[in-house]
Amino acid sequence: MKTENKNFSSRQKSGPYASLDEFVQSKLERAKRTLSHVDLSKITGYKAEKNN
Amino acid sequence: MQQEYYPYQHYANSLRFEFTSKSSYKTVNKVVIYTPFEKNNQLYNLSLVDALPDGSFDDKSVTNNLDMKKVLATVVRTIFHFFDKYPTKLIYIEGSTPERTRLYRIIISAEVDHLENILEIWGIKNSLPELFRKNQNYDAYVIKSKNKLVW
Repeated sequence: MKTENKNFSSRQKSGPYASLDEFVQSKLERAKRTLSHVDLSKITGYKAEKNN
Repeated sequence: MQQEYYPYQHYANSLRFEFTSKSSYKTVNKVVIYTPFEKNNQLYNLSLVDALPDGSFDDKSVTNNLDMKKVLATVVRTIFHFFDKYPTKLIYIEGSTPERTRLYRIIISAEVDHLENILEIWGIKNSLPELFRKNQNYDAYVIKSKNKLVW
C-alpha cells in the first residue's frame, strides 16, 4: 500500500523514519515476528463458537 | 468513551487518519495508519506516529504534550471509524516499545468496561491469544468489532 504523506513539508530529516512507507514496513515486520506462532483462528472463530 | 478527542481527517479509504495534538507548549502532527498484512488481509496493523516538521516520522519519542488521554481518545475514534467501514476486519496493536505496549494495556484496562459491548479485545502473550484481562501483561492486542458501533 502506498502511503505517501504530502501534507507535511520536507527539510532535513530528524526522525528515525524518512517516510511513512518505511515506518509502516518496519511496524509490519515487527508485528509479523510477534504473530509468527500465533493461532489467529482462536480469535476469528470465537464469535462463531459462541453462536453455535 | 466520553473523553474529548481531536478532530481528524481521513484518507486512503479510511486507512490513514491525521490530526494535530495541540497544547500551549507545542503542536505535533499525528498519523494513525491501518495496514493490511500481506498473508492475512483480514488483519490490519494499527500504528500511531508523529509526523515531524522535516517530513520524517518518529514513533519512539515521547511527545510529552500533556494530552495523552485526548490523543488516545482520538485513536479510539479512528478505530470506530475503521470498523464502521470494515466491520469484519481485525485490528492488531503492538507498541513501539514494551513500555508503550504496557501503557496501552493500562489504557485498555481503564476503558474495557465501556468498550466491551461494542468491541472484543484480545491480548497475546507468548504467542497465545486470550480475551483481554485487566492487569495482565501482553505482547500485543487484537480488536474485533461486535458490529454494534454507535459513535
